[in-house]
Amino acid sequence: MSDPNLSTYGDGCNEADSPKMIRVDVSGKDPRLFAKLRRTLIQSFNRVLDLSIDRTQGTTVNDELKDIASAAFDAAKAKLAMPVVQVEEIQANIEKTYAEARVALTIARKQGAEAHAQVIDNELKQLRLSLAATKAMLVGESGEEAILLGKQIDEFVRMLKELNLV
Amino acid sequence: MATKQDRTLPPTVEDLGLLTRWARVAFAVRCALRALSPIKDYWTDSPLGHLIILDRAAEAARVAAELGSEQHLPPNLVQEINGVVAAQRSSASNSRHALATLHTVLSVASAFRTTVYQHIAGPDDASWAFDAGVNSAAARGEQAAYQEAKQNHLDLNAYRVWDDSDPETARRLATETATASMWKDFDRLLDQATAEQWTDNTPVPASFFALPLSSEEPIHSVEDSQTAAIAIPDERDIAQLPRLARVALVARATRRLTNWIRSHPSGPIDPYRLALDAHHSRVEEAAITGLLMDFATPNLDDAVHAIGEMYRSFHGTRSEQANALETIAAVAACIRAAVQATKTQSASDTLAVLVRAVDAMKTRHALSLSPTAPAALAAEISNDIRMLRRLADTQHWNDRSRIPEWVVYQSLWANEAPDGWPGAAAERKAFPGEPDLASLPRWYRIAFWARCARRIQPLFKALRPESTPDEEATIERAVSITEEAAKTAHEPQDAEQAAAAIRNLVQDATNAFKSPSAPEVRAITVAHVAEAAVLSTQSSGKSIAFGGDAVAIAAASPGDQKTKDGLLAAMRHDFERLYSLATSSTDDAVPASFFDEPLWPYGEPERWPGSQPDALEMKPISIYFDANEFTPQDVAGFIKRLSALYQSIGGDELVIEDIELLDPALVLEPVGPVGGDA
Repeated sequence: MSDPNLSTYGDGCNEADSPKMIRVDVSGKDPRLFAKLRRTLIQSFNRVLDLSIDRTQGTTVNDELKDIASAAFDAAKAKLAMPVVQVEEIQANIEKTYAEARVALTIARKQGAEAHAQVIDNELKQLRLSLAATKAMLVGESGEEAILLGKQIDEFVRMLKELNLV
Repeated sequence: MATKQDRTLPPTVEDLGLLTRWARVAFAVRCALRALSPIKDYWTDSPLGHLIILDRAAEAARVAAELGSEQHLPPNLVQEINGVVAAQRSSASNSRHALATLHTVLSVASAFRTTVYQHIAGPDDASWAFDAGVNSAAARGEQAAYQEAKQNHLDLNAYRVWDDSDPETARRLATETATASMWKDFDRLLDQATAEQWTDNTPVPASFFALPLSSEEPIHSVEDSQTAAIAIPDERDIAQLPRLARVALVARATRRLTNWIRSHPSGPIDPYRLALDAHHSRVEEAAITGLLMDFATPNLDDAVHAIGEMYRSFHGTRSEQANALETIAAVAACIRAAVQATKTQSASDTLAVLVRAVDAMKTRHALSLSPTAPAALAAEISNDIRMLRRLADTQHWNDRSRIPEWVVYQSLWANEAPDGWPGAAAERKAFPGEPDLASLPRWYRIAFWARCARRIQPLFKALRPESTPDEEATIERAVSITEEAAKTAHEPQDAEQAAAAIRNLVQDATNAFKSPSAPEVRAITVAHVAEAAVLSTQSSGKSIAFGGDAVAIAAASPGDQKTKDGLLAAMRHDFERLYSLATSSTDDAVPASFFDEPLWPYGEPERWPGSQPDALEMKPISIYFDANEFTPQDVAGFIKRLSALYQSIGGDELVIEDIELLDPALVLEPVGPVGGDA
């Protein structure tokens, strides 16, 4: 519950509607390999994004939002981070579910190249489908890219702008 | 002839007289091999010199049967084998151990005699080989049973006495097993000789010797559970390949062996190793050129003979070096079979080589190096067959189609080489020649050069520290234009302009040289490669001239052999990928995803410019999820898919570094005092 002594942040926005965001930072298991492939991963994701977005359905975000540097999100996150207690359950859920998913991918890899390729292929199809079902964008300069996902991302960014955080 | 009912008895001389001359020899050789093969494991204190002579005698007889000629028999082997027989007879006691040994010796000697004394010895000797072989097996079975009873820990698989340590039963079982297997050989030879109307001069196909020695349990006790999974391809699969593709298959299977032999540290065998290598090279050349050059094998025979001579120098029990020589001898036999298969290009001879290659990997030395070697080799052979069949289909090869050089020389281990396999790392060096590059469609060839230029691009700045950002941008522009042209299959309008900019750059740099240093010259070479790459996009392009620049590309590497090898291996990998992606259309664009593939599939060379990732490249990727739309399970699912994408480009897997929940409502601004004084 919010503190009645404190106001919210602007016209048209109330606390109940405020778009909370989950930020997850990912990197490669092997840091050196990740450093080599990071750019390629971003390019590949961008390509999948291009293939997935149905422009006629308006699932893209406004072009001006793409100018936002991800560094701005870094600056904002310190101010926007929720208390640890509230986040613990979400963190635990995500980490547990992802750990199980990693095991499945590892098993597929051990089953041989063909089985692994099949699983990867399926996952990439799912990636395209999930991107097509929501709003998605890639922001930030080279080396500092961030991925934004969800129907409220433009609202989220707008709020950040109003708060002078970006 | 013995009927089916009395097949528990040895064949009579009359039975054996039904076989042609070389079929009799082949039959006797197989009897001898059955006796000889297990005794190497069983007879652990045998004088090695004797074993070597026995090995050589059996091998010489086999080769004579395959060739249908005794011309290449080693000259002194007759005396040597007689010497072993005499020594064994004089030292033989009544122990089963000694009897088994003596019978083995007699079996091999008899087989050899069938070869040498064809004018005075006929079916009798084959019959002797049979008898001695059976007796050897029986004596060993009996002895094994005694040992089993005494020690209860011997591996007795060969004689199936593990359930019953009664010597009489063991002897009977061993006799029955050996007799049944030998009769199978007899029937097979007789059937084939009758069907194909063999004469006394007809050689016996190598494939006959590649058949398993026993249809029952494997005789080699050294085989383990991993070798049990070995799957040699079916002859029908091989028969579907065009003729020269079969030669390529043989060449690749045997090169895995010769590469290993070549890197073996034993110095004294160098000349023979070279002889094996030389013969193997001819097999490769035959696949590539379609020409069957002089395939006389005296050098090879000399080499095999010399390896045998080296065996003789070992008089003690088996040593590591003796085991290595045993493997080399097996490889030599395989190369000899490869030469034969290259001559005939038949599916059965091809299969015989493949079986021999895998068998060579089952020798003690190979297994001690890597127990997985036989299974790994068999798996790679299967990969090769699939690869050759796919290429034959897509490239419309026929029996006269020559096999591209890169196909013959491409990476030998599609999967990982067996653990500790010597020379595996050095097998990815060969660079595709100009004719191979010419076989790529136009835009694929351009993509190849674009990647070459992209790969060496960081060298420019590293070799020329005083280079300006503008100069670097000039190089970058040329490479980018080339990549884009390959992706879109359109001739770029600004290629000439980009090339001219590089020429100006080179001119300015050259003018500034007081006395050009090696790094400066190599930096200029990098620029030239970028220039040539972008010019290759033009229909009047300089692809041929650029082909010659392959050497320049290599020269542009920092100089150490490891880096150069890594560079060439990466270029070869690109070529193979492009060849596999290419369609039959000559004008198709190259899939854009090709350019996302790692530039260094086998790892970036140490000290390669830019190999130290900067902090930005190490930075995690942040993903922001709308918490109202994405449950934790959705979030995890998305990261899993992103991880799959990462794996598809050669990454290992993504890991979560940090998770936070962000809420703009937490940015609080007090609007004034509430209740009471501030």
